[in-house]
Amino acid sequence: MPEGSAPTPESRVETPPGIVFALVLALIIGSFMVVMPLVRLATDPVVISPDLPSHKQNAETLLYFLTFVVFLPFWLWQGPKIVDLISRGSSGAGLGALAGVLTGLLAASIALVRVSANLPWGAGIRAILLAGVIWSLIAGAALFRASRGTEWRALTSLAGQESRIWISAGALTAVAAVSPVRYGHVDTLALVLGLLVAALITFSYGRVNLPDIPRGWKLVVNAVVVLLVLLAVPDMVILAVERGGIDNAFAVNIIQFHQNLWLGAASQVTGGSALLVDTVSQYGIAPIYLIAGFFKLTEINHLTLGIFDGVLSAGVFATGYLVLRAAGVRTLLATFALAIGVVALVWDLTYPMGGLLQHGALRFGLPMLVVAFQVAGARWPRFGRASNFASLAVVGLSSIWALEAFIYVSVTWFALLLLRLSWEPAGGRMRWMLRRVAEVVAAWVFTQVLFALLTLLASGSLPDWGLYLSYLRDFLTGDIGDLTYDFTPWSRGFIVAGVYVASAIGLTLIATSASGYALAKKPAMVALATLTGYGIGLFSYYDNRSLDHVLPYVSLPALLVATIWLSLWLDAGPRISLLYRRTGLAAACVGAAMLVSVAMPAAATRSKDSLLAYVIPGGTSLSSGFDRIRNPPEFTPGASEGASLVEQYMPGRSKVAVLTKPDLDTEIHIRSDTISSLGIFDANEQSWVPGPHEGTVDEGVAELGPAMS
Amino acid sequence: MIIDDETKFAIKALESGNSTEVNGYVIGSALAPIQIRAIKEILENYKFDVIKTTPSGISAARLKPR
Repeated sequence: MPEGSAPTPESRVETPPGIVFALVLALIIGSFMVVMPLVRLATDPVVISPDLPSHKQNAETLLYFLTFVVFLPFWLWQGPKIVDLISRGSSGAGLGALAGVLTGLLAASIALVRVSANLPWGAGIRAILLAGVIWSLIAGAALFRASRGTEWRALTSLAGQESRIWISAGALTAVAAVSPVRYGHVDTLALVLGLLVAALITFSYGRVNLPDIPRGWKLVVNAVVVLLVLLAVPDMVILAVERGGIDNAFAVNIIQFHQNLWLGAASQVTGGSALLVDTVSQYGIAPIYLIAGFFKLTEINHLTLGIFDGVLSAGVFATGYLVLRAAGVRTLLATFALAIGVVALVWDLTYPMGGLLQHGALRFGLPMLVVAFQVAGARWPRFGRASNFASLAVVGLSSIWALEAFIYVSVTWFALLLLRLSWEPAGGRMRWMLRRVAEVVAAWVFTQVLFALLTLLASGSLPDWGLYLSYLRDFLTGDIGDLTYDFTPWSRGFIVAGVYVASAIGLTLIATSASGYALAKKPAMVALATLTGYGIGLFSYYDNRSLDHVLPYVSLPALLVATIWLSLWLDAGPRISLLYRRTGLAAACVGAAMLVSVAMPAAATRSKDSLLAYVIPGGTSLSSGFDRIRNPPEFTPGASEGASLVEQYMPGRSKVAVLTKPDLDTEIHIRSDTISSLGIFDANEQSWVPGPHEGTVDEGVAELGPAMS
Repeated sequence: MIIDDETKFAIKALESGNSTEVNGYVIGSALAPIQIRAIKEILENYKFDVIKTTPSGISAARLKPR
């Protein structure tokens, strides 16, 4: 092809997808390594108070958008063009070697900076900037030279060394990929055992054929795995106040503080208030009604709230397993993946599942319904129309759920539409997309109108969205919004983000250059598109609240995505050699061993608090576990005495005035089965955003009398 | 009304006129600003009359007109 001429669509088919994938991923990471330090260095830190760490959230928000909205689409657009240009030129024979060298160099530079903490240049962002600039200059010059008309002999002579170059690049990439792992956190025994299992699995692959079990038995196995997941995820203790010690006391304090932000609003609703009319919550509308509905069935307290979210989270994990199975992942691999997920993403949480609802299923889980419905529709096409309808119902529901869920569901849906768009005939894509957008808008409008009518019927007033928007304004742009946390250096969050970026690249390349394969693997492709979109959306939360202990909560989509890609890799048959398939399996097994070894031994201890441990004979009985949940111990000293005073001096009242330090007041109300006559249901939150609450509190005070108020 | 030692401290500080307030908080008390606002509103018309205090310092109080 003459120099500078545009590649034809046919030429894309000839381009080795692995080379395009590696080059696009390297270009995105290289861009990030240059821009990230520059943005951070150019941003002034926001200082909140001497007691709290300063942060550069504006820089992190910008970097999130640059990575997923600028670098990812830009290099997906330009990367294949560069590859086509080189492959069709006179240096095309060296393209594979060039991609391998650049990939290896980038990985080596990351690993080098990581181990440079005690060297003169350190492991900070200036070292990353230098490494990124050097790599970018080399990559830019090499790609430019290789794309020129005249043959680059130094490059083409490497063509015969391509396999060795890629083996070296692969090894360096593996080292770079685990560079965020802090080896002080690794449990050596668990790692050794994990590596032994990894070696056994890798050795057996291709040598040992497992018997194909009948379909009926597969259903039984699936049911058993789902049941085990449903039992393993919920935590029965949550607030371990009886165990004593400073750590437990601190955890109880943190959990109670965060749970009260939900309990306060939900208890107001159970007391007859309507959201967006009489009261408001920073966590949206539908989740609060859902909790209030649950409280119609059982006692209101911190533990019932925690177990409710724990069970919903278990549902999200179990749905994840079913999504894997419907996407074509084999039973053994899917079971293995979920086992890793439970150990690393549930039992290794700093705070038990159900403790911090801010990161649980109520807030993060809604998009999983879209994933499940869409994968089911792709797997069983006769349910396609029903699955679309159900998905659009979730899309509509997200508009009255909360801003975060609305964003996550929207990104999930957008990713799905992009995939489906690639399957539409070229001439009708614009019209098809407009129809899909109209469906989404109709779902939103229908849900909003229905919600407004139901609120009007129940309370006599239309919902005032200004109440919720005032919360959003204060939390997004006000002082309270400044209470956020930066990424820790070499955060493991980069691995999770890398999984989402890599998945988006792989999916796009398959959808655009191997549409026949994509259609043949439709359930897997739909699962990958929706889970990748879900993951990218969810990662925006971690970008904002970048504490290490938050990462597991946003990593389930990454685990599922990685599992589906591994499944496709292993099932590729002769398209990928046995050696490469076995190498991929080994890498995945080592990654799994690392995950488990980092989670141990904390995960083993936490597992004893799971519902599963209560079901297994020999431990604490299930009935005593649920009895504690329904009749919890006192979490805040004085709460029982406060409740006794309410019963002694204000018997029979459903609304009473309690003015004590925050959290104690909420527990007194819970224990006395009352709500605040002052309209104070969570003093902390109402003080952060006082606007919607001051009038209500003033009215509550005005109604107080000189009697026993 | 149910109050605790934190409330009593805030009431005493506000009644004495010697309270130090920062961003709605009364220094020395753990009460949140919206609670301080409620106490200020109450103190305009009433005095707190504690009728029983538990060992933990939780009290039942009634309001007496000023």
